[in-house]
Amino acid sequence: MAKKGSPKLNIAIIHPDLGIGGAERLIVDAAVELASHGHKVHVFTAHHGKNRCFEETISGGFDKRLKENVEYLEELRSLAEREGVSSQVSVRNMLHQRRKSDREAVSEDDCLRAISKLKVLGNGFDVISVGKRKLVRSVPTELNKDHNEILELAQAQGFVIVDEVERRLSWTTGCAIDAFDTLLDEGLAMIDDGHKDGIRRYWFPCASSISTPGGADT
Amino acid sequence: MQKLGDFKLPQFFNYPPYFTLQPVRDTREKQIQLWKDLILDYCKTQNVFVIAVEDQDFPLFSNPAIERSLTHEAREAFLSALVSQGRAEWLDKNHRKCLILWHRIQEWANIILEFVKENGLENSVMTVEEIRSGPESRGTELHGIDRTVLMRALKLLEQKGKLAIFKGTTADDEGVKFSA
Repeated sequence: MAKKGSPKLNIAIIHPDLGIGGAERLIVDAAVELASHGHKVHVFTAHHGKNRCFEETISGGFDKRLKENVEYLEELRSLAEREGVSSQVSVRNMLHQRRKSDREAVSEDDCLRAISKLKVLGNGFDVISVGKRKLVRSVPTELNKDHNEILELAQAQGFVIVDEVERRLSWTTGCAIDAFDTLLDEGLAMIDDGHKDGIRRYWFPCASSISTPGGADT
Repeated sequence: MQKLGDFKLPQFFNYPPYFTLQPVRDTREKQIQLWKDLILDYCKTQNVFVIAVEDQDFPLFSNPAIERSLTHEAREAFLSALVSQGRAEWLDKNHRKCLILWHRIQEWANIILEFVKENGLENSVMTVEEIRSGPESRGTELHGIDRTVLMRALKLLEQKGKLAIFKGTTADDEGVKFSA
């Protein structure tokens, strides 16, 4: 809770669908309360139906620049698709591009702190450490420990094979394939059957630097 | 960025999984879109009109730098997607050869009409061969156009009364009289 006389903040709340669920209730409460303390609250959402929303989101006391927000999320998604990265986006670059006119650059630290504050409001935004890199995860599905372990393994070469997962993580083939299937379905992994050794590789766009030439493995 | 001659290849061309047809629908749709755009782009800039599916030398089908090649199934999938979009046509029922319409026939027809206007060809006559390789064609998109595509566009214009096609003594003499 802000003390009297402390500086007023610009607060962004990002939430995919501003309906009438529990998470939405929390967000609206937080937004209204923060606004009543004099902070400037902006709620970004991709969907808001006037017939199916909390009353405060219409009468509010906080700004809800809807059309702009939808475009912003669309921009994020199409940027992710163009870069070949499914769901993880370089948030910092995105923010930098959006705020071209701002004098201050956004540091990685700022990003991390902002995202950790967003985490409290739930709904899929999180920062996961994968090896040396920090990725923003914006998928609604919770990635479990198993999936994260695969992502860790993928850091080395950008891809993983079933055999490796079984060996290094001591899993059964069934478990490994299940985990891979989930990651494929989430759009986080792609299959590669083209290597001359005939072994299927699972590539993780988020774990490799696509910008470096090659991506070939020996 | 990798280049094929002076054609700039997109990033995804260097990423091995894009050479395998993806099983997950959303991922596959994205993959198909990328390949469709690449094929159209390449054909347009290199003036390629026909792709043979089994052509081992067609540069887009494999990337030696990452040791990956598109399977026959993948090639057919991408070309079929172009066909569904109206940007290509199979030339045979076994799907061995594909005509790439990086301009649709209607677009080619419009280009021909422009060509007629620019060169003041109303009411005059020109052979089909001249349209595609004559001096007026140089510097235009019509230069080197595939004959099949050109004939289709001309026939479309004939139906609309914009010109009349007539046969000469040989194929080379086939000609066109443009309307006023």
